Amino acid sequence: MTKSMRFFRDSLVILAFFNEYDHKYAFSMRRLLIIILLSCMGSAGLFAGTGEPVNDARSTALGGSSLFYSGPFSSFQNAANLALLPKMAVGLNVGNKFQLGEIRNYSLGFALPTRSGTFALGIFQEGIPAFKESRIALAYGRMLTEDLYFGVDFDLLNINIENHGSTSAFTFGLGLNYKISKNIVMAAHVFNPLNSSWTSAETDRVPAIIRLGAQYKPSEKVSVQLEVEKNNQFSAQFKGGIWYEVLENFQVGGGISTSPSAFHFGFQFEAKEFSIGMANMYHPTLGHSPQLTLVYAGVDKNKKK
Amino acid sequence: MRYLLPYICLALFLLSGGWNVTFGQEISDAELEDLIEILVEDSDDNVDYDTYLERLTYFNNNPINLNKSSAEDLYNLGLLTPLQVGSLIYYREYVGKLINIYELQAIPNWDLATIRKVLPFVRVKGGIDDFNVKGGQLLWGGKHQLFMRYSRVLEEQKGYTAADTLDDGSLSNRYLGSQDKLYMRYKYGYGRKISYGFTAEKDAGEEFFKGSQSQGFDFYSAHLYLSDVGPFSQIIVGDYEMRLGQGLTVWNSLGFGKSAYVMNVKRQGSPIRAYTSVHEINFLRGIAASANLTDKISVTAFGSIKPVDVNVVAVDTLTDEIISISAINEFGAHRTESELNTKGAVSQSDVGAHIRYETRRVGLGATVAYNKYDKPIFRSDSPYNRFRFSGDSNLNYSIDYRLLVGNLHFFGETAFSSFGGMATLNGVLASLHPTIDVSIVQRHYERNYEAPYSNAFAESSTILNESGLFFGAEVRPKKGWTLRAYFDLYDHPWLRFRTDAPSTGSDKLIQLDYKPSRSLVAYVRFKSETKGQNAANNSSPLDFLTPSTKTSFRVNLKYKVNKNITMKSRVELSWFDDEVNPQEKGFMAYQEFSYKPLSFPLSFDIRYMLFDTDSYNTRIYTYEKDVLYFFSIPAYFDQGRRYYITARYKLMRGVDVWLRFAQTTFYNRETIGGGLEEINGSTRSDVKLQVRFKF
Repeated sequence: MTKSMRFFRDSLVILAFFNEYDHKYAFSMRRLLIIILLSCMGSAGLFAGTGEPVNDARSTALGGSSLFYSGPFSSFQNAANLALLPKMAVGLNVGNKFQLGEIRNYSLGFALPTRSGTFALGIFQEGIPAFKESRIALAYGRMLTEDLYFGVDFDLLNINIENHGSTSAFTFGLGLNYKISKNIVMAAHVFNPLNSSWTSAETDRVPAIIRLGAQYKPSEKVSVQLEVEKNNQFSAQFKGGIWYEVLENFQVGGGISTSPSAFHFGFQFEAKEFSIGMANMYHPTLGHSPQLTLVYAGVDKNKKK
Repeated sequence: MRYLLPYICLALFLLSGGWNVTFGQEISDAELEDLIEILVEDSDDNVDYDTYLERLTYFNNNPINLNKSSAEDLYNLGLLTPLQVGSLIYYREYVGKLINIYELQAIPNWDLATIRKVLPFVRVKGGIDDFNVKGGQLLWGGKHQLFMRYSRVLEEQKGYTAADTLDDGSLSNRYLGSQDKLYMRYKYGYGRKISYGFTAEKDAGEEFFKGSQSQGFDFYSAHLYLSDVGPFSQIIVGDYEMRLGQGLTVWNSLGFGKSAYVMNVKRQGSPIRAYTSVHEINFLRGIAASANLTDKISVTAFGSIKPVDVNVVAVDTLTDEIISISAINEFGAHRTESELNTKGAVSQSDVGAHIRYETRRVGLGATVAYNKYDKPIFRSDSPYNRFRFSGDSNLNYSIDYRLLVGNLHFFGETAFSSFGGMATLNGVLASLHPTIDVSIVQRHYERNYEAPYSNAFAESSTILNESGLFFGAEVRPKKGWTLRAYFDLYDHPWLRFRTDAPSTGSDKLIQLDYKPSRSLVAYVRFKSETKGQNAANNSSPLDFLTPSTKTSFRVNLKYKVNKNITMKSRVELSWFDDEVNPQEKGFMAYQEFSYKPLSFPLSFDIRYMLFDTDSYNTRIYTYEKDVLYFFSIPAYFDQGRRYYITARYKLMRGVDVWLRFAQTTFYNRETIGGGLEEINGSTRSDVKLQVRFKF
């Protein structure tokens, strides 16, 4: 998304406050401040924007680091992890950035392991009718060797601006995970390596994103992960966190992210095939971004055996 | 008990000689130097680091008996986390006394790196404290040490030149004394049962046995400390430090804050300690005592009265008597008429008490501290002082706690000031896995909170006007590898000095250590801090804040070539960017050679360094090997070279001599320093001579 488009989007969000989209909200200085800052800080990566990983609650709790997430939303994050998924999974995710309804997002994920690898489908949408971004991702992941997994995702991106029309772009991503020791896994994911375009204009390009990371998991109860993300339109970002199983079905996590600096926290509760996760990102100026993820995972046939 | 079973088995295995690990008793200089160096980069320059080194050296000579030590004794080391202390005590309770130092490996949360770190300072049996000694032996039969130190800058500084005649016929300001700096200290100690001694210092520029200093040195300090006397577990007369709670009310001792040692964020230690340093303000003078009422409840009380230097704002025109002051002056130098005029001009009195309930799992404390100045403080009316304390007395009271739940150690303190403000700090240390430790600290200090001896975990040096959340982690994924990182987000809801608006900031550090063997220690560190501050070179009529980011990257290597020779190398780069002015850069590299033969009385360290920075903003701090008990961690900026040699010669049994020569030459300056400290030239040379008598 170009800077001009981003500015246009932010302007629309501002207008939404004063026009028909925001009758229910009373004007306040805080909201105005948030809007102004959001507009100014587009370059700081606060808007995930189309193309950024769409995170589930657990990944958000881990500072937004998602290179090692294996679940129904892997198609948005790193499809290589699909290789680790033992059973069918479907999930719903709702994120409320800075508690602003105008940039609330929804995503739906589905993953199905088969004998020849795991297939996944993800649908994402963010925004209001005035400005809406959406993404559909179809992904495939499989093991190449016991210590090497590979994944690919194909993405259809769309931006729709009311009364101005819409534009789409098609791109893909590649992911690779490799174990370097019993407890340490490295991962890399490249999104949109060929820099697809939104329009015929040379400058209207979907961002290219590379993410590299490492996860240390000394036991099933605890893991630490760290990743660096470089979006060709934003500053490099560091993300990381720790995930810890407090009780058998209850886990908590905390993490950080830089550029902009923010704290993350979350937890996940599991009951049979269902899990519910909640997370929050806290930015000292812009406030809280709560998130909710529901996942249903089918019966693990391998486990039953 | 079930929890400990595997460890007990491991202990038996180790004791049976099943696994041999080489334990050395050699003090780990690298760890100590590094820890202190990190602290300096993050906090004020006037913190008393030499006392910390001295304390560790003391423990090296008088190791703590791990079978008898209390949690407090262990905290005093400053090297163990509360989780490790808790594990040791738990282990002692359930397994019994440690039989051998090798058994430390069996204690939960005690990894090999920790054991190596504390080994020079601990033992499991024997030692001086085990004996019942008679009075005379106790008073004189221990260890005596007398230090004498001389140092000076060789180039003439402006303050020592002939005074100029000003337009009004008066003479310009000059230092009254000589350029020599003198220091003397005597200390006696018998284990931890008794210590007494005195310290005296003359700063450069101060007179000595003449004029304003007819009593010789400018600063004197003395103390007598006893432990386990009558009902008192500790009692001290003279100059001392108090360390209570988490430092929100009284902690006038070294306290670690943000550093790569991310688990070192909790204040801990015995409440009373002798003061033996030469910071002329940050101590208490009088009497303090601590007593155990039961095996779980203890009380501590203290009283102090001392003169302090001040900045005067109003004087009675008839009597010349000071009416009010704007601040306590902590500089401690009395070299000119004006500095002498405010020396000890105000009397500060302090009284306080602390009651504590302690079990292995729970600790609860309550503190009350009252301080009074005999002249009121009225700060300047700058907006950033709008909510600061004014008046002549202040009462602080607080409660503090600690709680051990499984592998989580919670701690905190909440304090109130009679001036109106509140301060609270809460944290948790967690050992999530034998290879993963985490620390979290939350703090909220209101802008009108004030306690003169507070020293708690914070970004700022003053404990007020700050809220923040700190998150630290230490991961040891593979033998020899340690990854440490912290992330701190904070905000200052009111203005600060040179920050004319509420501001926010963030501080990040990540460090990877590699220690494949005892002879090689290497690490790389990346640190970045962004904070709002007034834009520099601002020509508009209004100040505005810019997010100023200082980033540094360091590669450090220490290699012990053989028993006698150690090499140290470092390269550090720094950047400063305030988003308004052009980015500034800095570079520094040094190589150090240390020769320390076991069988020859002479040892020395030589370092050569080049530095090149665009500005003060990109200054680079480096720890320098100095004479024993003297800390030198200067910051270098501009362009230049520096070298030093520090030599030690064991003249005879009990007599050691240190000699140090250091010289800095700047390539882009014609003068060094400012005001009366200015040197008219591009070179500064420092010489230092120290003698220690031990008997």
